Amino acid sequence: MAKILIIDDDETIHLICKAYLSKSGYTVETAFDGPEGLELAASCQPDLVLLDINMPRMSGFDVAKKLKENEATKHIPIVMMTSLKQDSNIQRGYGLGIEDYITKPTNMAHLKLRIDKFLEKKK
Amino acid sequence: MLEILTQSEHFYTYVTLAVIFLAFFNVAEVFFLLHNKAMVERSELKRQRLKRLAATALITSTSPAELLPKPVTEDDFAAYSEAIASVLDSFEGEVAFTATKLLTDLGIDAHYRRLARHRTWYKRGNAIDILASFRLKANREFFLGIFRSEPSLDVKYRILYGLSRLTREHSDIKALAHLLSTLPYLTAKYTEDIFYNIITALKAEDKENEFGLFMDELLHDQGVLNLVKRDCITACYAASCEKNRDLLKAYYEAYPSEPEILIAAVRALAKQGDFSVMPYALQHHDWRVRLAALKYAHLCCMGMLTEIRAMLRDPSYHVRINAGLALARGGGISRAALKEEAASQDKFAAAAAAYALSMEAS
Amino acid sequence: MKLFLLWWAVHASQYVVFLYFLLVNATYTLLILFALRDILRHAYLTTARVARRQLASEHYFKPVSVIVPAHNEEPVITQSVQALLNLHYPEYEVIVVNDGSKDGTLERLKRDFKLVSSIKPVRLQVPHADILAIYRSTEYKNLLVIDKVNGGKADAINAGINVSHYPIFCSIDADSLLEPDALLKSSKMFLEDDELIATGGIIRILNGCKVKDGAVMEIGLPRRFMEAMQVLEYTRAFLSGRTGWNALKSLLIISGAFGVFRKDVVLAVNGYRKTVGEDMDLVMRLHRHCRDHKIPYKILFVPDPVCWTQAPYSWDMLLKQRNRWHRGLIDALWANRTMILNRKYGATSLIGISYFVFVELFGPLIELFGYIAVPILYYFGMLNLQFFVMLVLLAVFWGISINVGAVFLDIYNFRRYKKTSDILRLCVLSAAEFFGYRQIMLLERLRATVTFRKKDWGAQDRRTMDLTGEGKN
Repeated sequence: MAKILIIDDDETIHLICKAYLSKSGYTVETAFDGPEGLELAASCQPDLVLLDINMPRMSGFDVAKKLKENEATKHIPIVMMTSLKQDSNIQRGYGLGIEDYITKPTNMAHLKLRIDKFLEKKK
Repeated sequence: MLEILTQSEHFYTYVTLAVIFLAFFNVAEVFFLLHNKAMVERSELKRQRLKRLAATALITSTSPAELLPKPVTEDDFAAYSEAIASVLDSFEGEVAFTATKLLTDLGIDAHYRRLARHRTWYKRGNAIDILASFRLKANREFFLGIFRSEPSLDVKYRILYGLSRLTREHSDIKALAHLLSTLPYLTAKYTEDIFYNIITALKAEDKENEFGLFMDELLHDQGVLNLVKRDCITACYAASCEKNRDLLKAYYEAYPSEPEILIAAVRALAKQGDFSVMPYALQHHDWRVRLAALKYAHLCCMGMLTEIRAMLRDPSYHVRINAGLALARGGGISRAALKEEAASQDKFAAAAAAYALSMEAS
Repeated sequence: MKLFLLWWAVHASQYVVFLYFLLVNATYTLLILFALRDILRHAYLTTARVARRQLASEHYFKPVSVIVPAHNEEPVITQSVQALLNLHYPEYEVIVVNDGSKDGTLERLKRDFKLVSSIKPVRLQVPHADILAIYRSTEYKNLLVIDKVNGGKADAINAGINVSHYPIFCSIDADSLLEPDALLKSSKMFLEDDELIATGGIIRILNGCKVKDGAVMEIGLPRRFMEAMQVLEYTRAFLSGRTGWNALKSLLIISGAFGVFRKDVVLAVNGYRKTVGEDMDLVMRLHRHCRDHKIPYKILFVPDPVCWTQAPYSWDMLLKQRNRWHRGLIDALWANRTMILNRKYGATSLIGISYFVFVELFGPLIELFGYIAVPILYYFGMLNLQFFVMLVLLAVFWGISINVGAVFLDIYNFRRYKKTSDILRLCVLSAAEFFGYRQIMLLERLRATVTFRKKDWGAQDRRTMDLTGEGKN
């Protein structure tokens, strides 16, 4: 039963992702902002983190950086969700060590397939 | 004379009344404050609840309109529209389709269209913002319609912003650019935003060449402000449109005395790895164009060593510094030249050279 | 004859004081009404959606130089600079100006940020005391530290301006805490309006809040009376005061704790002047310059960007601060006295500056007069007791309603203080202000007025433009 952590400031996204991914057998945890997400990541050790870039207080990049700096969480793969397909953003993300990008708007079915692939690779 | 005032009966009555009134007013104010706070908190909770309900209904049912309560108050509409806009922003496919259908089923779209004709300008503006977030193609005609009758500039810009998310072909874009030119030029950021939206929307549908066609037509269109043209180019840069190098070069050549357009073109071309205009830009009479080109000089123009070296004596501080940095990044020969300059008699050149060497250690 | 005049003056003082209270309270009520209108409108137009869009368009920005003057800030400097380096902004530089600190500020910086020497050429565009050295950080490419001879805050910022690279600069205190998106929110306004030359955000008090990792985690009203009282004052001054003045196009102060300016205009007025009230002085000179040269311009206050600052927590510190503020006010008004009651400067002069002169500047004198006159009149049986009592009650109640109004504005739009107990305390403080606190502030301001002249304010050690400096540009 793989565990996924979603860090996004929009609750609607939490609900939809949670509903969809739970149906496929994943356990989904959600966090509203950076600090909460970091704590949750350290405590519940998810298999994958879905991270939104555009968050008001702490941007996705900051969160990714802190996740990778923390011993407890640096092994967890990160997938960033963004509506911006800019080279600079992408480079910056990969530079921080994230696994992949997903551009919004995204198809739920595709999202699930990609998550499946990630977790398989991990095994 | 002043005595008369204070001795009169009426004066005291008024003052006493005023004092009593204020005393009551203060108490009422505090109660109002607390009451308002409670109400606002309550309505926020209600909104959250409704959003949650909507999101869950969208994912669990194929006809969510049947499960959800009809929106009555402004807050209800706001809650639904926020939830739906979130969904449309982040997801496509079935859930997006259901969400769009929900807009018409619950009358949300119609409600905001009504509100877009409200008396107060900021309420109209708000309604248009929300309508724009739905990205309903059907609203295109509506937007064009209210644009004509809208008195307020702020709202007009919002209408254009909404239209920018719905454009599909180059004739649409041209119409938009013309509409934009009829309004006093707001600022770069706003127009760039609009064109960025257009490009992004086109890219999503794999129709990037439509923008290319549009820019081609725009090149000599006198009905469009030059600043708008600049913004189109910058939007290209930001949205990474890839297929229009020749077009960008054509713009560069067509506007030799418009530094803004030249700089935008230089940057956009550089981003694609095309440095063919750099040599000309480096020698341009406007310092900002020279500066823009210098930032890429180390990648392309080391053949122009003498010219760049001369720029260490440029009247502009920024050009001097960046000329030094370009030489420092350029490799062995240019660095050697820079070292010579660091010992030169010209204080400015020497300072710039020494600084550049210290910053770009080989 | 003199006696008669004195008698007349003392007698008339009752009415002067009455008129004064009427004027002050009426002005503030007006400001609050304007502020209410603006804040309501702001609420409609700055929804979460728009904010999100804002964040999304991060590729459109103008780079900013953040200038931090620092004098003896060893305990907090690393934390502050670290927080600044974590701001959400695509391209910016942080310039810390060590203004001749006597403690280990520079050493801390050198150590914590791995500084090395830099030979960056500096354009001497605005005057300031000598720069001893410039350092850059090997770890953070956008951090520069200037070490210079002590010259005061204004002087330090001028040095920062000379070294800065970008067209916009933000001046901020070393112990202020900027919210991560504050820079984005304030600088985006320069993008949206080419006429904007200066803007300031809202300053909020950090005392009583929980801070972690350079971010404010939890907001609360401080326990102590004097700190909580300052929260009320700031709320009134910023939310109703500044927003209101904004609407009247008479914004005269952009706080030194957080202000964002367009560099070219500040260079045109020769930077900051070496004075105690440098922030107000600069803004006044900007108004003057633009009007004199008929340049269309805007100076705005928007309550969106937030900067948190540590308020004085002892009476001694508080009084010193208020003393400094008042002296700064006097100096700025005196230096720009051509702007007083001058039709040429429009509403800014006739409304804004007039308020500052007649209410803020002369106010303490009038109030003092009132306090002195009352017992004298009473002793001579000339006091109209009924009138006096009514006056006091009127003034106090009106003042309370204004304070509560300001609290309401804050809650309605920003909802920072969420606990009901905090809000009730603020309401109680709204009344308590008039029974002691206000009078203490009054005395300090009077002291400042009287001792203003005694300070050596004349010849400052101003650095003339070095002829061998970068004068070409």
